[in-house]
Amino acid sequence: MTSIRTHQLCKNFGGLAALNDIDLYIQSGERHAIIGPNGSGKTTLLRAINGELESTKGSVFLGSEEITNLPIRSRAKLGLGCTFQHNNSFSNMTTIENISIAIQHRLGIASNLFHNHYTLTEIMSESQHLLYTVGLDMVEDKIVDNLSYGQQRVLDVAISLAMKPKVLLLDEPTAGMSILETTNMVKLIGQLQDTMTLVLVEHDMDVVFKLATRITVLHNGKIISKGTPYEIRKDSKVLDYYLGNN
Amino acid sequence: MKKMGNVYAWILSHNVHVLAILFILAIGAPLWVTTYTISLLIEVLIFSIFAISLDLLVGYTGLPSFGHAAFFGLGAYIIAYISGDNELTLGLTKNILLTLPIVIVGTGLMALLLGILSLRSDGVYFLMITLAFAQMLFSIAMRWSAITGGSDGLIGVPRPEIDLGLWNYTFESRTAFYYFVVIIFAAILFVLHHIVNSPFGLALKGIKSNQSRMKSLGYNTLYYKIGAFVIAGVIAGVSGMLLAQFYWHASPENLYWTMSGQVLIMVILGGVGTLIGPIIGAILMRVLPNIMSTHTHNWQSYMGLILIVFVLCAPNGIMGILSKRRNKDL
Amino acid sequence: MNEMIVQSINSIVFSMLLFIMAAGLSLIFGHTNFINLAHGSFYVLGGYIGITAINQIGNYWLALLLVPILVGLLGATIEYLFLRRLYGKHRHLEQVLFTMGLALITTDIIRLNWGTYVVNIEPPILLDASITLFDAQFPLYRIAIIAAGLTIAGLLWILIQRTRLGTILRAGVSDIDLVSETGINIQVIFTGIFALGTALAALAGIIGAPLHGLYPGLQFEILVLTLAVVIVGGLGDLKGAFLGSILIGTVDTFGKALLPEISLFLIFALMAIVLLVKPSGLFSARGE
Repeated sequence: MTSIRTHQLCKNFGGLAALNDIDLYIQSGERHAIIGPNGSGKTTLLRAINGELESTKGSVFLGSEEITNLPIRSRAKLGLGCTFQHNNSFSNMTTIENISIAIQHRLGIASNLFHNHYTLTEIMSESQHLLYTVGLDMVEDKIVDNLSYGQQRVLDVAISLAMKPKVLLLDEPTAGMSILETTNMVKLIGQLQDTMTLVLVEHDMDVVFKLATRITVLHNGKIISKGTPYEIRKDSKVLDYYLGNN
Repeated sequence: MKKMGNVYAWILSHNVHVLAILFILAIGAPLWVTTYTISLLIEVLIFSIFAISLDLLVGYTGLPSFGHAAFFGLGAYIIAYISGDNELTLGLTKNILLTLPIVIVGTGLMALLLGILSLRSDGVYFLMITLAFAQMLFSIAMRWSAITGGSDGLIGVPRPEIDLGLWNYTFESRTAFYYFVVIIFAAILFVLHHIVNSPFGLALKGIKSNQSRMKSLGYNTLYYKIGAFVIAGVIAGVSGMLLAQFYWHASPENLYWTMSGQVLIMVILGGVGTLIGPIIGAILMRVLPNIMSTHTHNWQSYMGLILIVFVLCAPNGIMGILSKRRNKDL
Repeated sequence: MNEMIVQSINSIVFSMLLFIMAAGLSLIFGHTNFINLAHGSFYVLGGYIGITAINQIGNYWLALLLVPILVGLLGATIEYLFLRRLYGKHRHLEQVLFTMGLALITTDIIRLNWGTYVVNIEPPILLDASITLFDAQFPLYRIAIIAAGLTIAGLLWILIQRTRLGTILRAGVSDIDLVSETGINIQVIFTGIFALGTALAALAGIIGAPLHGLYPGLQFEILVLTLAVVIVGGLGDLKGAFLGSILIGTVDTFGKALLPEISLFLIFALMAIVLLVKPSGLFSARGE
């Protein structure tokens, strides 16, 4: 697990400044939540960190490595994993295949041309174990399109977990979920704390206060506050801008 | 309808038995069918190899190539040049133990080159660039008469021979050549079956399914696409070699874009992403025109009509129809 | 020097013909994202129907007006009945299949009605003369083609830049799923685009027929050249189609005159280079 840091990160879309001088520092092993109203730039920030968006100015560091100009796949190889707001799995393939794809790459055997991937025990046993851990082992052979929405979101997280990332970015993992599904997801994420640094973008304040060890608050592309959940709850700026209006 | 589904399900679960039966039928075929049918079978097998190679690109990796004839024709011209007997060619050997590796390396290098150039584009742009490159090869074949024989192509391509020094055998007769093609077909089917079920094959499917997710997992998708492109190109080259050996002739028509179109149609008609689908497509596209052209001059419009009906009613091809029926029963 | 001028004029003539075709294809491809491999078929249909029309009506000019309209209506019908079910960028393969089916059917329709011989159309009497330019004799007909091409370019320019429809097209409406809030019916626009594109192809076919005759295989040859123009010039861009036609037309004409062995190769090499360096087209505004 590693730290993640941005330095004076800016992102402009045309004339609009979506991110303005973001100095974010997330320590190794933290569970860090980024909150803010709609349009505050939370998702843009995540996408600038994971490489989907090219930043206009500023830099991003994964541990001591600068990743500002690296493409997505290089950042992934350095240990940066992410899930997305929309479902982003291999929806026409089975659940276990979705996990196997991630695992085989991590194990470095993805270019094997000759063995049946189902018979490679290193892939299979790890896939099944991971599915068991997240509660999807019962549906391992189901096509992902046929899973429930909540199951698909869990699978998205599981695929990223299969990479064994050092830093995991989660973009609104509980969006659109029922109360039961949300509880499940919170439990799942809560169990991750020891193995990786977590950066969580969330709207659901209950989830945030249950999981986060530190919080950064964004508003109009700028950081207006950071601190522990206790500090944030008490921060008058935050109450004005955000929590108060909720 | 329920019976159809059950047959299909039975076939899938007993596919080793089915393959064995088909293989025995294939071996025994020359005993009870006419020589005309043997010729048809040879053509169908050759085009099946061509079609399943394209399926690796289109069906498994999601790369719609409209220039696959480039490798088909190249394979034909390479074998014609190395072993053909006319004033333009080298005519070195017809020993398949030597010529097959040369065809493989030759088409492989061309596929590597064209792949590196084309695969940075996706979707429609990739379709157009593959078309462009195939047309370039076609125009070279047509114009560079000194090497390629121009619009006449290269004649005098011999049937292949196995030469082990002390013993040799030439697959001269139609029946002998038929067995040669059956063996190569079986070998290629075996190899491709392993490839698509391997981790590499899984990665290709992942690329087709969600390329950006693959990148977010750290995959260098360009390498995998190039790999698939080269494998597909080599196999297409081998099928082109077989066609040239069958008709004793390598022709620029093998490079023309309508040949790329025909094989693409075979893949789509039969059903992409299934190894069997393109074989069915190849059977349809080679057998139907044959049958129809003996009954009517208008076979092209009937082919056109069939295509249109298929697109409107069965966009997943024949395999799509069969699997839908199967899912209904489950 | 004389030879240069002759070839230059010839290349402009051919470029204008290509332009009319390319404009049609560019409109269809660029704005509805539909791959139309039957574009060449509409070209030859225009030519062949043109012959019949001229013979039946007896008036070249009337035929020139009516046939594109007729073929355009045919195109609109096909779009309305079939093609609109195939839109979407994940359905390019189906579009390829379908339009190839149309092309195959066209081949037989032509063969049944007009045979497989090379057919020639005589230019209209009004234009059946030669004029002298730069010490060389030119059929007036060829000059007229240049005029026609420029006129069409002008008319299309007015359509794109100065009409409401043009504004919609320039806004980059290419997604059939877009439901317009301004009350414009996207479906109708798409039908119109296809009709206009095919009408242009037919027009090019009638105009071009006296130049090179009509023969089996023409539909594919012209299609491939038109694709080359659209790729080199850029998609959905009238300027791109125009400049691309000039480039391809010049390379083709001079190529055939000076280096006939590699002229085809040159065109496709050009296409490949453009795709590698600037895939959106040499003259396109979008730097994709």
